[in-house]
Amino acid sequence: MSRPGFVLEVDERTPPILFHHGENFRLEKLPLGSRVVYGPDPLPGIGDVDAAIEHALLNPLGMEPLPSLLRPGMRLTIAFDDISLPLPQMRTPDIRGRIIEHVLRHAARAGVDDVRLYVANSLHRRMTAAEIKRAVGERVFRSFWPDALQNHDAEDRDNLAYLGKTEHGEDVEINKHAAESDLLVYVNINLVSMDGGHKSVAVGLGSYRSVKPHHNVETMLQSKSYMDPRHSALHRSCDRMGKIVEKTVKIFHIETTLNNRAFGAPFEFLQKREWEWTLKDQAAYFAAKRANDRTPVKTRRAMFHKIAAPYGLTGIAAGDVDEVHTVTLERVHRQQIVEVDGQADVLVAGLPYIGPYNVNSIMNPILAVCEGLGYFFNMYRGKPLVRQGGVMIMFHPVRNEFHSLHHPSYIDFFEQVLSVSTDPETIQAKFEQQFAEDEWYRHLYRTGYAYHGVHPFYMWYWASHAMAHLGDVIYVGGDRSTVARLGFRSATTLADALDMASETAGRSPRITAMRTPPLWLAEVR
Amino acid sequence: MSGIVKDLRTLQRGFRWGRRPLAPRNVPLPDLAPRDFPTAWARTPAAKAARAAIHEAVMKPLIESQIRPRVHNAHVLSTLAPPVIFYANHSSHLDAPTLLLSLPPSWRDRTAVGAAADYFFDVWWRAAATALVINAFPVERPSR
Repeated sequence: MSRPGFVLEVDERTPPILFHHGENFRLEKLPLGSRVVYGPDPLPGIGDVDAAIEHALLNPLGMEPLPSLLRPGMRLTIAFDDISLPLPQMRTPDIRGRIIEHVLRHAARAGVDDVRLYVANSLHRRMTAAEIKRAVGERVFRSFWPDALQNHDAEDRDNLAYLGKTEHGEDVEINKHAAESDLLVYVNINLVSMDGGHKSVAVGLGSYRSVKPHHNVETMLQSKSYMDPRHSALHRSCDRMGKIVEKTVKIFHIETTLNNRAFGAPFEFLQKREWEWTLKDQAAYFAAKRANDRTPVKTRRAMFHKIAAPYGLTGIAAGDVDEVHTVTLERVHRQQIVEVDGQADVLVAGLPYIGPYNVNSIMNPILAVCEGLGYFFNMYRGKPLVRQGGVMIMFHPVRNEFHSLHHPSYIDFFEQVLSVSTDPETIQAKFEQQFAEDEWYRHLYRTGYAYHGVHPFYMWYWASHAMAHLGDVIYVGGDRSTVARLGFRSATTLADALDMASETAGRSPRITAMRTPPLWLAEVR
Repeated sequence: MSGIVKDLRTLQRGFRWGRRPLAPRNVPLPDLAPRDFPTAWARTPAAKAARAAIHEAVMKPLIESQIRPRVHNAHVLSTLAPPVIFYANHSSHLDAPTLLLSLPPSWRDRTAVGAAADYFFDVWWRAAATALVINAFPVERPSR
């Protein structure tokens, strides 16, 4: 039985609390009476992963076993989650590759020749050959790359199939090869409760036309939160689309859940509660902090992105999308839920070096907004961790730095769009279409490794619920002019930030700090 | 202040280097199985003699250098028949030695002090010192 999550009340005995600060860490003394939320300890991983995979394939939920769905002459497509999951990347062998090997073994036994694999990268950047090889394993890569193992291309009109509209008028368009298959096997990693379910195929293999109906400000403002599918307009839309997809192609959906052991040696101290730090943990922190402080950002970033997490597999389920996802969400919640009483006036969080859209890349200012006001803010069920009109304080350097290969449209978004407005609705109405249909961005997305032209807009929309909810947003340690362009404020120290926050939250605010890693989901009562 | 010094100071102050590490108050104590801490040796004649010497040579001067204890109504002791429990309103670690040293020697020699097992009996040397100096026995307090 692993230890559940915990809400600490800061007293004079409390050691300083560790926060991420981009590619660095910091220890911060919080005011007495503040609360710090810690995630549950990692659940034990499954010992025999191959047996668990095989059991799931042969005992699916709401569907026949995989071998009975396979026959000679059929067209089989296998799609799998892209590099945005898990975070950090998992140690090899990646669970996606292990599952794909099992599926291919069954396909070979059944005499299936026509097999194609797609990275379900949607409007994300294409994965490089090396990244794909890491995800699927050497054997699969060698057998299928590059002809039968490809990135999905959401702008390839010749390989998109329009499947119709939902009852809400949402266009459904997905990868044509997948849509015309006799069986589509989807392999997922459900890191957080936002992932998986009908979102996997409808978004992962979708196009701009079919992503647009739910990746917009209106939907985000009705998703409270998008980490809680029961109260998420995003998920309701994906579910409607998924039903249309299921009418076209049979989907054998495979979902996996991981425990939250994101960091192993020498960064184990990141996962531990501070009052349990041994002298060795303190020394590891000191060494890492000193090394970070003396290392150029680029080198530091490269080192951090090489970290591979020692995750354990906590569950795998296969079969009908809805039935599988119900089981998956239960498993995610078992690992991540922490009960928190009441909302705070001020929410404090440290933003890490990595998010879903900057693996092997740079967390640019727009991604830093998405990470904090999007993902961190939305890690709740029930009510947000911070009250309406409250303040969110985040630690991040927010450098004016972009990866020109991965995020070209982000640069223009920052320069041309945010200089005009930071209001999500205005931005959506005035600029989205222009970026989404820009031929140069389209070219870079299709032939290079660029995120789609519209992607920075989605990152901004992802934060729209938080922007509408909060009274102030402050980045501690953030580059002043860059943060100002984002429409927020920066502070040098936490004390300064709290002083600034007092204008909105009062002189004696209730403060809640989000201590990560490990990742958790608040059940706010 | 250089970065190294600043970081070291943060760790030294925050993690109480050189002092006993303390968990924040609302952290549940781990449910450890009760352990046996033999303290009968602390009531042997040799230990009693050592304790009396420590009280006179160390504890008494130490306490009197910090506070001025005043004893009221000590005469009631002559009306009591042991066993007796003395309570302190426990506002500091000095409570127990102050109370002990305020008792007449005949009472003090026969008084044992209940002390938190998780705090005073966590390591052998602290357990031994506590048992010797204040004739302590461990009291389990599994949760706070």
